Amino acid sequence: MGRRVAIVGTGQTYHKSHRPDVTSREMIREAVVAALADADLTIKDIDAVVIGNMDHFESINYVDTYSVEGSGAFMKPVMKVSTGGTTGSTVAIAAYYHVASGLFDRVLAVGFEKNSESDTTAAIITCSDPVWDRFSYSGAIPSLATEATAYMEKYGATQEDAAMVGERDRGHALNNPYAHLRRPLTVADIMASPMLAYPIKLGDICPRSDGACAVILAADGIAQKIASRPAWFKAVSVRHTYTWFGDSTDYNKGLVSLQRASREAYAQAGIKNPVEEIDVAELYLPYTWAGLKWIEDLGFCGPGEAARFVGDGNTHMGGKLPVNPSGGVLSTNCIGATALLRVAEAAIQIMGKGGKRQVPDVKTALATGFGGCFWSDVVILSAVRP
Amino acid sequence: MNRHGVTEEEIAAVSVKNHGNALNNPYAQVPLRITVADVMASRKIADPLKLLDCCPVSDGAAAVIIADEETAKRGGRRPAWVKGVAHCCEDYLLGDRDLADPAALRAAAAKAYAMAGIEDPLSEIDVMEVLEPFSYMEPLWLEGLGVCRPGEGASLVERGVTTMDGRLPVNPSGGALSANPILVAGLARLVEAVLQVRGEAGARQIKGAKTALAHGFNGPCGQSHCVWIVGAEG
Repeated sequence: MGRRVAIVGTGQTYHKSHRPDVTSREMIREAVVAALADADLTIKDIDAVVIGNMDHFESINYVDTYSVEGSGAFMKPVMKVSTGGTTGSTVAIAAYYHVASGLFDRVLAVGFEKNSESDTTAAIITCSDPVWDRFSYSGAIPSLATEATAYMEKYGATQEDAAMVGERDRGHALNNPYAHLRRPLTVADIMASPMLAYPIKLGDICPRSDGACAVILAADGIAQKIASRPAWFKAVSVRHTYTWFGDSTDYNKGLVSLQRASREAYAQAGIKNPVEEIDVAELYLPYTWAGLKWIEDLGFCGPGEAARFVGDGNTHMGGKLPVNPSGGVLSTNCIGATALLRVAEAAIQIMGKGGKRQVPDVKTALATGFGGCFWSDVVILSAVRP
Repeated sequence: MNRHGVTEEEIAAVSVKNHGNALNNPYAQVPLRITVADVMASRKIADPLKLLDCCPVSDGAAAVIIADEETAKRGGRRPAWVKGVAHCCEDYLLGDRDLADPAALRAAAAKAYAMAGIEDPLSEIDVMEVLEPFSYMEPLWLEGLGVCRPGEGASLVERGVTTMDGRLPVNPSGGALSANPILVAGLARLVEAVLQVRGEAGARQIKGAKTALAHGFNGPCGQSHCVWIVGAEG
C-alpha cells in the first residue's frame, strides 16, 4: 500500500468542435493554468507531470516533450501515457502511482485532444486487426453498433430505451458551462437523427471536441493544506482484455473489462452495494447504449434491467445515483482528455465545486474510462481520507 | 565540436569502440571490427555524421520485472537493486536550448546520484550503458552525467577511460550504435546494466561490477533524459 493521495485542483477548457485560435500546447496551458488557480498553486510547486492524448490522432509523436511549453514540464520529470480512450483515466492513475510511491508530492495530470486536427476514424481503424476484425469493427461506431445489436437481441431493449440516456446526458450538459454540446436533445430528436451504423444514430453518439483537462494530485499531509476538501483516492483499477475485438467482447458476458475493474475497485473501496454507497458517477459513455449495458456491468442494476433503471429516473439529477451531471461524453469528447474529465468531474463533485451541476452531499464518487479494444479503468474518490 | 574543438576522429573512436564491444554481445545487430579510418571513409549522411556514426534500424523488444524488496529477496535469482532513478525534460524548441550542454541530463543525473548516494560517478560507478544512437552523443551525455568536464568527453575513448579495460567502461553491449530498436533502446540499456551487476553479462561482463548506470533519452537532440542506477547490493 502506497501513500494516501488526493486531488486538490482541477482545470478544463471550454470545449468546442474547433479551436483554431490555439495550438494544442496553448490549449493545454489553459487547462493547466485553470487547475493551478483552482489549487492556488504555481507551476513551481509541481514535482512531475503525466500527460496523454491519442498521439496517432494528431500525428504528434512524443507529446510529452512536444507539450512542455504548455504543460509547464520544463526542467521537470514528464511522462507520456497513451492507452486509447482510457488515456485520461490511465493518466490520472499513473499520476496517482507517482504520488503514492512517495517519490513525488505534487503531480500534474494532463489530457488533451485537438480532434479538429485529427483524422480520428482513420486512426481508430488501425487498431482493429486487418484480417480478423476490420470487417466488423472498422473504427469506433461499427464496433459499438455490434455491441448494441447484441444487447438488443439478448434483452429486447429498444432504440428508444437507449435514447433516454442521450436525453439525460444532454439535459445534464445544460448545467455545465464547459460542455461542448449545450442544446437539449429529446428521445424523439435522437430517433429522428440520421442512422450511422444500425442501431446507432447521430444523436446516440459522442461529438468530436477540442479540449484539455488538468488535475493536480497531492500526497497525504500536503493535500489537506492545499484544499479544504480534497478528493481522496479510494480505489484505482485498470483492466485490459484482448487486442482482438472479437475476443474482447463476449456479448453473452457483457463488458468483461468493466466488470472486473469495477469489482476490484469496489473491493479496494469496501463497497458492497454500489447504488447505495456511491453518490455520483461520471461514466465514460461514448454512445447511448453504453448507458444501459455498462451500468449493468458496473452492478448498478441486474442484467437487462438498465432500461427500467434509467427510465425510472434513478440516474438523473435528483435520482438515487446521478450519472454524468457534467453531461458526460455524449456532450463533450476531447478524447485524450475525456476520461480525465470523468475523474476531474468526480473530484469536483467531492470538492463541492460543481455549481449548477453539483449533486448535494457527495461523499463517494465513481469515474470510469473506456477505450482501446473494449478496455476499462475505474477510479473511486472519497471526501473521507481513507 | 564548435564550442570545444572536438574532432570528427575523436567522435569516430566511439563508433569503433562500441561496434567492437558488440562482438562480445550475442544480442547486438551490428558487431564490427573497424578503425577510425573506416568511420571517416564511410558515406556522409549529414555533416559531420557519416554512416558509421549512425545507428542501424532495428526490430526488437525488451522487458524487465520490478518487484518490492520482499519478493525480490524471495526470488531464486540475484536481484539488481534500484539505487536511484530520475528523469527530466527541457525545452522543446531547439533554438531555446544549449545543444552543447544537456541541462535536463545534468538535472536528472544529479537527482539519481543523490538518491543513490553517489558523489563522484567516475569513481563510484563501475560501468555505464548510455543511449548513443549517434556517436557524438556518448561523449556529450557523459559530460552531462558528470563523468568529465564539458568538452572532455570526446577524449575519453582515446585516453582509455571508457574502453572495456578502462576505469569506467561505457556500453560494453555495443550500445545503440550496434542495435537501435528505438523506444526499446533505453530499456535495453537498463537490461544490460542489470546483467552487469548480476555478473551475468557473459563475454561483455565488466569484472566485479557492483554499480551500473543506465541512461535513456527522448525528444529532439536529447530533450528529455532518464537515469537509472542499479546495484548488486540493496
